[in-house]
Amino acid sequence: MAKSVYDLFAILAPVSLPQGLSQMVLARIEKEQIRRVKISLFVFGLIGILSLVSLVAISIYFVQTLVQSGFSDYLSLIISDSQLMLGLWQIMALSLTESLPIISLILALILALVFVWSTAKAIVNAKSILLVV
Amino acid sequence: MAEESKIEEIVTEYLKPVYRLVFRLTGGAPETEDITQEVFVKVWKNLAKYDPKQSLKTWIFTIARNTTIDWFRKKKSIPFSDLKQNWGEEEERDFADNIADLESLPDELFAQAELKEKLDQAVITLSLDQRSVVTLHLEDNLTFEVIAKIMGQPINTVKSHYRRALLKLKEILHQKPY
Repeated sequence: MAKSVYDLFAILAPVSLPQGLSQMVLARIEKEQIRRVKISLFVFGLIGILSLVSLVAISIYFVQTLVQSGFSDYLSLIISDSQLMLGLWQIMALSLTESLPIISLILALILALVFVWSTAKAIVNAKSILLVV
Repeated sequence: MAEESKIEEIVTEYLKPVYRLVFRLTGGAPETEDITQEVFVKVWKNLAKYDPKQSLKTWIFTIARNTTIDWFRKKKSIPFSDLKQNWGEEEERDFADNIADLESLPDELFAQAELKEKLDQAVITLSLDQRSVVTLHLEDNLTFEVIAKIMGQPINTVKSHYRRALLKLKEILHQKPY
Protein backbone atom coordinates (compact mmCIF):
# COMPACT_ATOMS: atom_id res chain seq x y z
CA MET A 1 0.00 0.00 0.00
CA ALA A 2 1.30 3.41 -0.89
CA LYS A 3 2.32 5.59 2.05
CA SER A 4 1.89 9.32 2.35
CA VAL A 5 4.28 12.23 2.80
CA TYR A 6 3.07 12.39 6.41
CA ASP A 7 4.72 8.99 6.97
CA LEU A 8 7.78 10.23 5.15
CA PHE A 9 8.11 13.24 7.44
CA ALA A 10 7.64 11.07 10.49
CA ILE A 11 11.03 9.54 9.76
CA LEU A 12 12.69 12.94 9.27
CA ALA A 13 15.40 13.36 11.88
CA PRO A 14 13.71 14.73 15.00
CA VAL A 15 14.95 18.11 16.09
CA SER A 16 16.11 17.95 19.68
CA LEU A 17 16.38 21.07 21.81
CA PRO A 18 19.91 22.08 22.78
CA GLN A 19 20.66 21.70 26.48
CA GLY A 20 19.72 24.76 28.52
CA LEU A 21 18.09 26.68 25.65
CA SER A 22 15.04 27.44 27.75
CA GLN A 23 17.21 29.06 30.46
CA MET A 24 19.17 30.92 27.80
CA VAL A 25 15.95 32.32 26.31
CA LEU A 26 14.68 33.45 29.71
CA ALA A 27 18.09 34.95 30.58
CA ARG A 28 18.07 36.86 27.27
CA ILE A 29 14.59 38.21 28.01
CA GLU A 30 15.71 39.24 31.51
CA LYS A 31 18.74 40.99 30.04
CA GLU A 32 16.48 42.81 27.59
CA GLN A 33 14.13 43.69 30.44
CA ILE A 34 17.01 45.22 32.47
CA ARG A 35 18.19 47.16 29.41
CA ARG A 36 14.69 48.53 28.87
CA VAL A 37 14.33 49.49 32.55
CA LYS A 38 17.75 51.20 32.50
CA ILE A 39 16.75 53.24 29.46
CA SER A 40 13.49 54.35 31.06
CA LEU A 41 15.30 55.08 34.34
CA PHE A 42 17.66 57.34 32.42
CA VAL A 43 14.83 59.03 30.50
CA PHE A 44 12.61 59.58 33.56
CA GLY A 45 15.61 60.62 35.66
CA LEU A 46 16.54 63.18 33.04
CA ILE A 47 12.95 64.45 32.82
CA GLY A 48 12.89 64.64 36.63
CA ILE A 49 16.11 66.68 36.83
CA LEU A 50 15.07 69.01 34.00
CA SER A 51 11.61 69.55 35.50
CA LEU A 52 13.12 70.21 38.93
CA VAL A 53 15.56 72.80 37.55
CA SER A 54 12.74 74.43 35.57
CA LEU A 55 10.47 74.31 38.61
CA VAL A 56 13.04 76.17 40.72
CA ALA A 57 13.51 78.78 38.00
CA ILE A 58 9.77 79.27 37.43
CA SER A 59 9.14 79.41 41.20
CA ILE A 60 11.69 82.24 41.56
CA TYR A 61 10.06 84.04 38.64
CA PHE A 62 6.61 83.42 40.17
CA VAL A 63 7.62 84.90 43.51
CA GLN A 64 9.22 87.92 41.79
CA THR A 65 6.14 88.63 39.65
CA LEU A 66 3.92 88.07 42.66
CA VAL A 67 5.80 90.74 44.62
CA GLN A 68 5.71 93.16 41.65
CA SER A 69 2.03 92.58 40.90
CA GLY A 70 0.82 93.97 44.23
CA PHE A 71 -0.92 90.74 45.07
CA SER A 72 0.46 90.79 48.61
CA ASP A 73 -0.90 94.34 49.12
CA TYR A 74 -4.42 93.28 48.14
CA LEU A 75 -4.11 90.21 50.31
CA SER A 76 -2.97 92.15 53.41
CA LEU A 77 -5.79 94.67 52.82
CA ILE A 78 -8.36 91.86 52.74
CA ILE A 79 -6.96 90.31 55.90
CA SER A 80 -6.65 93.57 57.82
CA ASP A 81 -9.98 95.20 56.81
CA SER A 82 -12.73 92.62 56.73
CA GLN A 83 -15.47 95.27 56.55
CA LEU A 84 -14.05 96.59 53.28
CA MET A 85 -13.77 93.05 51.98
CA LEU A 86 -17.44 92.35 52.74
CA GLY A 87 -18.56 95.56 51.08
CA LEU A 88 -16.41 95.38 47.98
CA TRP A 89 -15.79 91.62 47.73
CA GLN A 90 -16.45 91.44 43.99
CA ILE A 91 -13.94 94.19 43.15
CA MET A 92 -11.45 92.82 45.65
CA ALA A 93 -11.71 89.29 44.28
CA LEU A 94 -11.25 90.58 40.72
CA SER A 95 -8.22 92.68 41.71
CA LEU A 96 -6.71 89.71 43.56
CA THR A 97 -7.19 87.41 40.56
CA GLU A 98 -5.87 89.99 38.10
CA SER A 99 -2.75 90.56 40.16
CA LEU A 100 -2.00 86.83 40.41
CA PRO A 101 0.69 85.78 37.87
CA ILE A 102 -1.50 83.06 36.35
CA ILE A 103 0.87 81.87 33.60
CA SER A 104 3.85 81.33 35.85
CA LEU A 105 1.58 79.69 38.42
CA ILE A 106 0.18 77.23 35.84
CA LEU A 107 3.69 76.54 34.55
CA ALA A 108 4.94 75.91 38.07
CA LEU A 109 2.06 73.51 38.75
CA ILE A 110 2.62 71.62 35.49
CA LEU A 111 6.34 71.32 36.21
CA ALA A 112 5.64 70.15 39.75
CA LEU A 113 3.33 67.45 38.36
CA VAL A 114 5.90 66.40 35.75
CA PHE A 115 8.56 66.24 38.47
CA VAL A 116 6.40 64.09 40.76
CA TRP A 117 5.36 61.79 37.89
CA SER A 118 8.89 61.30 36.50
CA THR A 119 10.36 60.79 39.97
CA ALA A 120 7.74 58.15 40.75
CA LYS A 121 8.49 56.39 37.44
CA ALA A 122 12.25 56.59 38.04
CA ILE A 123 11.82 55.12 41.55
CA VAL A 124 9.74 52.23 40.19
CA ASN A 125 12.41 51.55 37.54
CA ALA A 126 15.24 51.75 40.07
CA LYS A 127 13.34 49.34 42.33
CA SER A 128 12.93 46.81 39.50
CA ILE A 129 16.64 46.99 38.70
CA LEU A 130 17.48 46.40 42.36
CA LEU A 131 15.04 43.47 42.49
CA VAL A 132 16.58 41.80 39.43
CA VAL A 133 20.19 42.46 40.50
CA MET B 1 5.17 39.80 37.57
CA ALA B 2 2.15 38.50 35.62
CA GLU B 3 4.00 39.31 32.39
CA GLU B 4 7.02 37.33 33.59
CA SER B 5 5.04 34.21 34.40
CA LYS B 6 3.18 34.56 31.09
CA ILE B 7 6.41 34.64 29.07
CA GLU B 8 7.75 31.68 31.04
CA GLU B 9 4.61 29.73 30.16
CA ILE B 10 4.98 30.70 26.51
CA VAL B 11 8.65 29.67 26.43
CA THR B 12 7.84 26.33 28.07
CA GLU B 13 5.03 25.60 25.63
CA TYR B 14 6.40 26.92 22.37
CA LEU B 15 10.18 26.62 22.60
CA LYS B 16 10.33 23.22 20.95
CA PRO B 17 7.99 23.94 17.98
CA VAL B 18 9.63 27.34 17.39
CA TYR B 19 13.14 25.89 17.55
CA ARG B 20 12.11 23.08 15.17
CA LEU B 21 10.58 25.56 12.69
CA VAL B 22 13.66 27.80 12.75
CA PHE B 23 15.92 24.74 12.48
CA ARG B 24 14.06 23.50 9.41
CA LEU B 25 13.96 26.94 7.78
CA THR B 26 17.66 27.61 8.30
CA GLY B 27 18.57 24.04 7.39
CA GLY B 28 20.04 23.52 10.85
CA ALA B 29 22.34 26.56 10.79
CA PRO B 30 24.43 27.15 13.94
CA GLU B 31 22.55 30.44 14.42
CA THR B 32 19.28 28.55 15.06
CA GLU B 33 19.66 29.05 18.83
CA ASP B 34 20.26 32.80 18.45
CA ILE B 35 17.29 33.20 16.13
CA THR B 36 15.08 31.25 18.55
CA GLN B 37 16.17 33.52 21.41
CA GLU B 38 15.45 36.56 19.24
CA VAL B 39 11.97 35.19 18.48
CA PHE B 40 11.08 34.98 22.17
CA VAL B 41 12.53 38.41 22.91
CA LYS B 42 10.25 39.78 20.16
CA VAL B 43 7.30 37.83 21.59
CA TRP B 44 7.99 39.35 25.03
CA LYS B 45 8.38 42.86 23.61
CA ASN B 46 5.13 42.64 21.64
CA LEU B 47 3.06 40.72 24.17
CA ALA B 48 1.03 43.85 24.93
CA LYS B 49 0.15 44.16 21.23
CA TYR B 50 -1.04 40.55 20.95
CA ASP B 51 -4.72 40.26 20.09
CA PRO B 52 -6.22 37.37 22.12
CA LYS B 53 -8.78 36.82 19.34
CA GLN B 54 -5.89 35.53 17.23
CA SER B 55 -4.34 32.13 17.91
CA LEU B 56 -1.19 32.48 20.04
CA LYS B 57 0.52 29.69 18.10
CA THR B 58 -0.16 31.41 14.76
CA TRP B 59 1.14 34.71 16.15
CA ILE B 60 4.33 33.16 17.55
CA PHE B 61 4.99 31.18 14.37
CA THR B 62 4.54 34.36 12.30
CA ILE B 63 7.18 36.08 14.46
CA ALA B 64 9.45 33.02 14.15
CA ARG B 65 9.18 32.93 10.37
CA ASN B 66 9.68 36.69 9.98
CA THR B 67 12.70 36.65 12.30
CA THR B 68 14.23 33.84 10.23
CA ILE B 69 13.57 35.79 7.01
CA ASP B 70 15.27 38.82 8.60
CA TRP B 71 18.26 36.61 9.42
CA PHE B 72 18.42 35.41 5.80
CA ARG B 73 18.19 39.01 4.60
CA LYS B 74 21.02 40.09 6.91
CA LYS B 75 23.04 37.17 5.65
CA LYS B 76 22.03 38.12 2.11
CA SER B 77 21.95 34.45 1.30
CA ILE B 78 18.47 34.38 -0.10
CA PRO B 79 17.32 35.80 -3.41
CA PHE B 80 14.39 38.19 -3.19
CA SER B 81 12.43 35.97 -5.59
CA ASP B 82 12.63 33.25 -2.98
CA LEU B 83 10.84 35.42 -0.46
CA LYS B 84 8.07 36.54 -2.74
CA GLN B 85 7.02 34.71 -5.85
CA ASN B 86 4.73 36.51 -8.24
CA TRP B 87 2.62 33.83 -9.75
CA GLY B 88 -0.69 34.65 -11.34
CA GLU B 89 -3.90 33.82 -9.46
CA GLU B 90 -4.94 31.29 -12.09
CA GLU B 91 -1.63 29.49 -12.02
CA GLU B 92 -1.83 29.37 -8.23
CA ARG B 93 -5.31 27.85 -8.38
CA ASP B 94 -4.22 25.24 -10.94
CA PHE B 95 -1.22 24.42 -8.86
CA ALA B 96 -3.23 24.03 -5.70
CA ASP B 97 -5.48 21.36 -7.24
CA ASN B 98 -5.00 17.62 -6.68
CA ILE B 99 -2.53 17.88 -3.80
CA ALA B 100 -3.78 14.52 -2.50
CA ASP B 101 -2.38 12.75 -5.59
CA LEU B 102 1.06 13.98 -4.74
CA GLU B 103 0.89 13.00 -1.09
CA SER B 104 1.03 9.25 -1.75
CA LEU B 105 4.45 7.66 -2.02
CA PRO B 106 5.48 4.11 -2.99
CA ASP B 107 6.46 1.63 -0.28
CA GLU B 108 9.82 1.02 -1.96
CA LEU B 109 10.85 4.55 -1.13
CA PHE B 110 10.56 3.82 2.58
CA ALA B 111 12.81 0.78 2.23
CA GLN B 112 15.83 2.99 1.56
CA ALA B 113 18.42 2.86 4.32
CA GLU B 114 19.65 6.35 3.57
CA LEU B 115 16.18 7.84 3.24
CA LYS B 116 16.36 9.99 6.38
CA GLU B 117 19.61 11.62 5.28
CA LYS B 118 18.34 12.02 1.74
CA LEU B 119 15.14 13.63 2.97
CA ASP B 120 17.05 16.05 5.20
CA GLN B 121 19.10 17.14 2.19
CA ALA B 122 16.03 17.33 -0.03
CA VAL B 123 14.25 19.65 2.40
CA ILE B 124 17.25 22.02 2.36
CA THR B 125 16.96 22.37 -1.43
CA LEU B 126 13.41 23.74 -1.11
CA SER B 127 12.79 27.48 -1.21
CA LEU B 128 12.09 29.23 2.10
CA ASP B 129 8.37 29.44 1.34
CA GLN B 130 8.19 25.80 0.33
CA ARG B 131 10.16 24.78 3.42
CA SER B 132 7.84 26.84 5.62
CA VAL B 133 4.70 25.21 4.21
CA VAL B 134 6.09 21.69 4.30
CA THR B 135 7.37 22.02 7.88
CA LEU B 136 4.27 23.72 9.23
CA HIS B 137 1.89 21.33 7.47
CA LEU B 138 3.67 18.01 7.80
CA GLU B 139 5.46 18.43 11.11
CA ASP B 140 3.24 20.82 13.03
CA ASN B 141 0.01 19.57 11.41
CA LEU B 142 -1.22 23.11 10.71
CA THR B 143 -3.93 23.64 8.12
CA PHE B 144 -3.23 25.60 4.92
CA GLU B 145 -5.54 28.32 6.21
CA VAL B 146 -3.43 28.81 9.35
CA ILE B 147 -0.19 28.59 7.35
CA ALA B 148 -1.54 31.26 4.98
CA LYS B 149 -2.07 33.54 8.00
CA ILE B 150 1.44 32.84 9.31
CA MET B 151 3.02 33.51 5.92
CA GLY B 152 0.76 36.45 5.09
CA GLN B 153 -0.02 34.92 1.70
CA PRO B 154 -3.24 33.78 -0.02
CA ILE B 155 -4.24 30.18 0.68
CA ASN B 156 -3.87 29.19 -3.01
CA THR B 157 -0.31 30.49 -3.05
CA VAL B 158 0.42 28.42 0.05
CA LYS B 159 -1.10 25.35 -1.57
CA SER B 160 0.96 25.86 -4.70
CA HIS B 161 4.12 26.20 -2.57
CA TYR B 162 3.18 22.89 -1.00
CA ARG B 163 2.52 21.23 -4.35
CA ARG B 164 5.79 22.48 -5.80
CA ALA B 165 7.61 21.32 -2.68
CA LEU B 166 6.15 17.83 -2.95
CA LEU B 167 7.03 17.63 -6.64
CA LYS B 168 10.58 18.68 -5.88
CA LEU B 169 10.90 16.27 -2.96
CA LYS B 170 9.58 13.37 -5.04
CA GLU B 171 11.95 14.25 -7.84
CA ILE B 172 14.96 14.34 -5.51
CA LEU B 173 14.01 11.19 -3.62
CA HIS B 174 13.57 9.26 -6.86
CA GLN B 175 16.73 10.60 -8.45
CA LYS B 176 19.29 8.03 -7.27
CA PRO B 177 18.72 4.29 -7.50
CA TYR B 178 18.00 2.57 -4.18
